[in-house]
Amino acid sequence: MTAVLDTAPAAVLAPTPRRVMLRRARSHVGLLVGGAVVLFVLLVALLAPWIAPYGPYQQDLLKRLADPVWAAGGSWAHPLGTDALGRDLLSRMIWGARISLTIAIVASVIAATIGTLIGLVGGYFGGRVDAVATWLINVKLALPIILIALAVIAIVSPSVTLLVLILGFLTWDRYALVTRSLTQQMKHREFVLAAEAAGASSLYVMLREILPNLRDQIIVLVTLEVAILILIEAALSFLGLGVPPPIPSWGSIIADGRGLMFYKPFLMVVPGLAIFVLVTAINLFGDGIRDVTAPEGRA
Amino acid sequence: MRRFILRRLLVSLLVILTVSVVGFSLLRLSGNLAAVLAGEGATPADIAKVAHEYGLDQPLYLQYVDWVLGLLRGDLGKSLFSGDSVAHLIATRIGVTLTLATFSLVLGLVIAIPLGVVAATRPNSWLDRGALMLAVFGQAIPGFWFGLILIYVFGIMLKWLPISGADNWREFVLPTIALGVSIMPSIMRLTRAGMIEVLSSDYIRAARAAGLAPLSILFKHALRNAILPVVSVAAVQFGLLLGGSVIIESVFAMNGIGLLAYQAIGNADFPVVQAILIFVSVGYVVLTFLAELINARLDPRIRL
Repeated sequence: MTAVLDTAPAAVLAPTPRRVMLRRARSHVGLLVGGAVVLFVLLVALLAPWIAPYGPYQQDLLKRLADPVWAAGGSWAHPLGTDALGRDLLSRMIWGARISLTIAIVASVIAATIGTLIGLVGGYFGGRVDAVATWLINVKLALPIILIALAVIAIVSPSVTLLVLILGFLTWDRYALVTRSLTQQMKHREFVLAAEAAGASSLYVMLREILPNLRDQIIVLVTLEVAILILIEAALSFLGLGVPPPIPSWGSIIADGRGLMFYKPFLMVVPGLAIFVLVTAINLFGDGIRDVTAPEGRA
Repeated sequence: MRRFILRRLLVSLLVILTVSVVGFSLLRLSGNLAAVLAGEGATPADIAKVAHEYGLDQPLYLQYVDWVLGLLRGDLGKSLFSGDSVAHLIATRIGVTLTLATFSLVLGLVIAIPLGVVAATRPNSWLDRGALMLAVFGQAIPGFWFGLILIYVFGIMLKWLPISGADNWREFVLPTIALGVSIMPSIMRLTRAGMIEVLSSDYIRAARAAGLAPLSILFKHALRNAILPVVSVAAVQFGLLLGGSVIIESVFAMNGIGLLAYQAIGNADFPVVQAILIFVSVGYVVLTFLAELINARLDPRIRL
C-alpha cells in the first residue's frame, strides 16, 4: 500500500479537503470532548420517553424532597432526589433536556433563516438594499432581548411555541452580520462573476452559488447560537416567563428549586450544572468545527 | 470628520425612531392590553371601559404620536400600578443599575485585559489554554444561577456578604461578580487576538530590536493598538449590561430599573415597561455611537 502511494504523482497524494478535516478533527480535543457531551445530551433528549424512570409530571407526595443518592438517606429509587411535589428530579432533567434543546434548536433555525436572508440580500445587492439591511440589523441590535421577550410573553401568556418564535425573531443579528460581510467578499470572486456572465438570476446566484459556500460558517454560528439560546431560555424560564409550569426546562427546574435553595440546594445546583456543562460542550464543539473547517493555514 | 459624525448621527437617530415604533407596537399588538389590565373575568363592557380610560381605543398611530410627543417633553406618563410619574420612578432607580453596570464592566476589563495580554505573549502555552478555558467557562455559566450559587456560598454558608439590596457597596459585590463574569470572555478573546496580531507586526519587532524594555513594549506600544476594538466592544457590552440587569437585579432584589421593569411587566404596567425599553435601547445606540467616535479618533483610517 505504501509503495503504491510513494510512486503516485503529487496531485494524487494531496489530501482532499474532507481528509484534512477528518485528520484535524481526530486530534482536536475540544471538538471530540464537546461533541461527545453534545451527542450524549441529544440522545438523552431523543430517548426521554424510554429512559426516564418516571413521568415528568408524576407526583409522589409521600416522597417529597427525597435526598439524592450521594446524600445520607438517598436511594437509587430517585438518584437525583425529588422536588417539593415529589417529582423525580432525574426524570424532569431528562425531559427538560428535550424541552430546552428543542426550543434552542428550533429558535436557532428560525433566526438563521431570517439572518442569512437579510445578510445575503444586503451583501449581494449593496447600495440602498444594503442600507435597508444595515438599518434592520442596527434596530435589532438596539432591542434588549430579555426585556422584550419578557414583556411580549407576559402580554400573550407563556407557551413553548411563543417562546420559540420570540427567540427566533430576536436573535438573528449575528447571522445577518456574518453572512453580509462574507457575501460582500464573495460576490467579486470568479465563480460568482462566471454565473452572472452566464445569465444566472440574482436569486440563483445568491442561493446556489454563494449560500453553499457559507455553509460551514453558518453551521458554526448555529451551534454557538444554540448555546446562547439555552442560556436565554433558562433565564426567561427562571424569571417565570419562559416555559410555563409544569413543563420542565432546565431553567424552570432551577426556578422551582430556588425557594428551597437553603434547605435542599441540590434542586437548584443540579440543573444549573447541567446547563453549564452542556453550554460549555456546545461552545467547545462549535469552536472545534470552526477550526476544523477553516481554510488551510488558518487552523 | 464632521461629515462622518453627521452621517453616523443621522443613522443613530433613524435607528432610535424605528426602535421606538417597534417597541411601542410590540407591546400594543401582542395582545389585548385592555383585557390584561381589566384582569381575569372582566366583561367586554369592563374591557371597553378600561380601553377608553387609558386611550387604548384610539387608533394606534395616534397613541404612538401622543406617546412620542410626551417623551420629547420629558413626560413619560404615569405608572398604572403606583400612580407615580414614570420619569420619577426611573430617575430614582437608574443609579443602582448604572453603578452595577459600571462595576461589572470595570471588573470584566480588569480581569480580561491583563489575561488577554499574558495569553497573547505565549500562544498555545498552558497559560494561554487556561485563559481560553476560563473564557469558555465564563461564557457558559448562566448568570442568574451563578448569582444564586454566590448567594449560597458567600451569603449563607460563609456569611461574608449580604445577599440582597443595593444600599451600600457590600451589597454590590456579589451581583458585580455575577454580571462581570458574563462580559469577561469576549473582551479577553478580543484583547488576546489583537495582541497576537500586533506583537507580530514590524514596528514591535523594530522596538524589540532597538532594545526597549519588554514590558514597556507590551503595555505601552502593543496594547495601545490592540485595545482599539476592545473600546467599542466595551461600550456595546455596557449597553447589554443595562438590558441584562433585569435578571441579576431580580436575583439580588436590587432596586434598579431592571427590577422595576420586571415588576412592571408582572403588573401589566405598560407605560413603565415602554419607557424602560426605549431608555435601554437609546442607551445602547448612544453608546455604540460614542464607541465609533472614539474609534474614529484613535484610528484615522476608519473615518474614510
